[in-house]
Amino acid sequence: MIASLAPRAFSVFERNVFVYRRQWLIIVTGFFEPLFFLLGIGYGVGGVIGTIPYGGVEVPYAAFVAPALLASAAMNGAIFDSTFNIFYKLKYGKVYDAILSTPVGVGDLAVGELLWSNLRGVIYATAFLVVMLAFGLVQSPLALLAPLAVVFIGFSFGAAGFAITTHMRSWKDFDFLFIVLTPLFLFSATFYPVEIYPGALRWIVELSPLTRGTHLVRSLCFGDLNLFMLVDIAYLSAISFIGYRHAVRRLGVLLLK
Amino acid sequence: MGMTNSASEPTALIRAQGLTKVFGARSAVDGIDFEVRDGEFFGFLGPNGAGKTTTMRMIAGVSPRTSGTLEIFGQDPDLHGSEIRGQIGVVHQQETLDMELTVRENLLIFGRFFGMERAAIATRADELLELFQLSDRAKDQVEPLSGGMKRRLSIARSLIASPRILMLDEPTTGLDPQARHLLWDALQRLKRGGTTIVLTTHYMDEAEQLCDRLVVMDQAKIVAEGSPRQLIVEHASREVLELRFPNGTESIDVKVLEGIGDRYERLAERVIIGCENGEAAHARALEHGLDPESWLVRRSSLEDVFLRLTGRTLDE
Amino acid sequence: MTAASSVAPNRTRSRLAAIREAAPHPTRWRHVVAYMISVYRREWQGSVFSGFIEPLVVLAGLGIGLGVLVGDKAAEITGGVSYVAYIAPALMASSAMNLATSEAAWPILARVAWVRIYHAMVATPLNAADVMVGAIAFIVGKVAFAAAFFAGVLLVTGIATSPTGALGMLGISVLTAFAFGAPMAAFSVTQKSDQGFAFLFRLIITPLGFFSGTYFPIENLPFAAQVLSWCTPLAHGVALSRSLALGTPVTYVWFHVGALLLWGIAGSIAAIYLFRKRMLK
Ligand SMILES: Nc1ncnc2c1ncn2[C@@H]1O[C@H](COP(=O)(O)OP(=O)(O)O)[C@@H](O)[C@H]1O
Ligand SMILES: [Mg+2]
Repeated sequence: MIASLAPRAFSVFERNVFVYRRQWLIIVTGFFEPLFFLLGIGYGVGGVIGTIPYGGVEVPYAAFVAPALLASAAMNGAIFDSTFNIFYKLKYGKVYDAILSTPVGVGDLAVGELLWSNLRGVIYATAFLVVMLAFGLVQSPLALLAPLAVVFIGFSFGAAGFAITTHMRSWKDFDFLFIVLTPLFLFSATFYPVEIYPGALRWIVELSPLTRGTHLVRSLCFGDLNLFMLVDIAYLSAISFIGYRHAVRRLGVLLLK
Repeated sequence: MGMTNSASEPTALIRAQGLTKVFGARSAVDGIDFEVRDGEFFGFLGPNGAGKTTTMRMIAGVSPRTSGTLEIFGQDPDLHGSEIRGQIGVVHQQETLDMELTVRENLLIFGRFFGMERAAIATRADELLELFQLSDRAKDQVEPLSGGMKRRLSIARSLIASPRILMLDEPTTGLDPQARHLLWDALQRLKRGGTTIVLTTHYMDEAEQLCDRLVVMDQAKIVAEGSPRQLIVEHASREVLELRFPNGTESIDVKVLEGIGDRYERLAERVIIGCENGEAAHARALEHGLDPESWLVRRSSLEDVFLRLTGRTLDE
Repeated sequence: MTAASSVAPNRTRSRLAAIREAAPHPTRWRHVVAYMISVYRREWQGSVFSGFIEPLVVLAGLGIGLGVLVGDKAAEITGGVSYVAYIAPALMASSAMNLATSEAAWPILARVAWVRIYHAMVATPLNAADVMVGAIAFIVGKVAFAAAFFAGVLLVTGIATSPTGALGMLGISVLTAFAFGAPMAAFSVTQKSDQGFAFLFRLIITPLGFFSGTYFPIENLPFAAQVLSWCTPLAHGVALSRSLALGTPVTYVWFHVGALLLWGIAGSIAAIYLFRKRMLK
């Protein structure tokens, strides 16, 4: 479908398929991280915690954490691709110069790369959903929509990561990326309900894109359709759009001198 | 396409008027006019920094021009870059091969960038690998290929969509003489096949050998235009006498130099004298009391044209 | 007969000489450490987060937050202290593992395969063993700094109550860094690209962080996983660090310490051997 709608962007996506056909094992390893978190925190610490209240009922802790891990898997899949890999291509490979000498333009380039980084997110999310099903952590058939919902997460983090990467000067700058990502992962209503945070702190946490993504996925997994999911989608879409626009503008500055 | 020329005149595929590119305060290309006609081999000859690469980038629509007009196939590359690039093949000065892909994959994915069908690409890719003698390396990574092979692959890649114009930015810089001649042969074959070729170079022998027409660029401007023969006839004398003075040429009297030939250029350790007859000029030099360490006589080349027009040599 | 008996001591002597040639010099490795420090001075900003701040972020993120959820149930695993206080000393040990392994991964690979500064070093009076000892010593030293900072924060915030306990934890972190840094260095010097690291970190280092008793007792794991866990260094580091922090007695102290030393020493010997092999190629 995308192939016929935006063939040029899709060809950039295809380039990554070529590259990763030989490196698929690397992609596979990325799947284990959320699994270890589920086993270690969800079941390990969850064994001590037991159940927690969610949406007015007591739910097993592992079932509460799992949707958040699914959402962060999508985030990680997208952001590592759109930062490390794109930085490498911008800085060292001359691939983009070659691509831009064909009918492909910077807009196609950005969309193609984002499609790819999103695919990684969707793959991790889908694989993790299968794990959740196997462990009986899925509370509603709506959970099957989760791999679709993570597309919003993937695009927002992919586009934001892409935009930030266009400003990076060296690998050292990536340490600053982790200064943002680690707290984002730990504090975004991932491991405990957002209500735990006192006062203003809570509203800061609510603004985290991962909190929104987690809320979206968690609502689906518990079959709890609510209007705030529309807020989540709008918020993540806005970040995607702004990130994409900025990335394209910066690509123009960097590559079309 | 907006090609409105009368049938008698060869069609211009590229036309530039007052083309200018400014980076910050410095002009990289300063108001140049040129035309590239259908089927010809056209060259930009000039030293490093003359503005050749910048001109090529503007033609490919990856560098917006500062002012002037530029039309490729009658269209403005800043507005129709994508359509234009669909019909041109570009070989960059620096290697831009995809190091994460194999030789053949480099061709396959490029075909996709041009929107070709997979089956058509596969056929064309094998054809090009054969043509550029890369078939036995098809499955190899790009990194370990020799410089000459990489350059051949770059050219093969640029031809995947059978472009009307092939643009090559200093294609033989850094190649050994043998690889260079192999490449020249390949380019001449392509030209005979009907492809219009635009090439930049700072080698005068390359320009002389390959180009039907060329412009000489220096410091962002075009200083001369014509066929290699025309340029030599117009701007250089028939023969050249070179006199070598290892201890420097400053002390030589201007009057003496003026008396030897039609014109002269004084370089650090050489004096180059343009004349009708080199042997005779050498005799005159000795009569005037010059005592060069060595001397030689040769036919004029584009190098002399450049020297005459700018007072400098091409590789300076 | 006489000829043979005169050869034998010679052979022993030359074998001894060969060992001395390959062994680390008692002091020369310090030049390597000095070099590393000079490099680090120039680019320390980047690693401040991974070394110093990240462990605190994890402690706050998982310790405080999960602590609220664990609540009163904490007592059944912590023996009375808060959940934060329970995981803090363990996080100190697992941070030592994280920092030591990543310092022994990319930086060493870069010097051995990309910038090849080690090739230049072994062309001086330094031998391969000096270089490896210096590299491992630097890593352990760096971890000691980060661990001291972490211990300081624990004391200031009152999570750690006894300064001697904190000092002991520092020692355990250093041992843990040795137990991980040395084998990791041995792995790195054999690598050609950094692809192997992705597997190692994602499939070994990350799960160790979860299943070595950091967040919940090892006894809650299935038996086979328990055995596996005790075979790796982190479980021992966590057990020692926690008992020092909480002032609870540990049985088999020397078993734990011995396990850490065994990993470190075996790793160092492997690193020296493999590095020498690569350099002399
Ligand atoms: N992106 C750029 N930013 C600033 N100056 C540039 C840029 N690209 C080229 N230039 C300058 O423009 C001039 C012409 O460069 P270029 O077109 O690369 O010359 P050539 O290809 O003939 O060697 C040079 O002085 C060069 O320094
Ligand atoms: Mg150039």
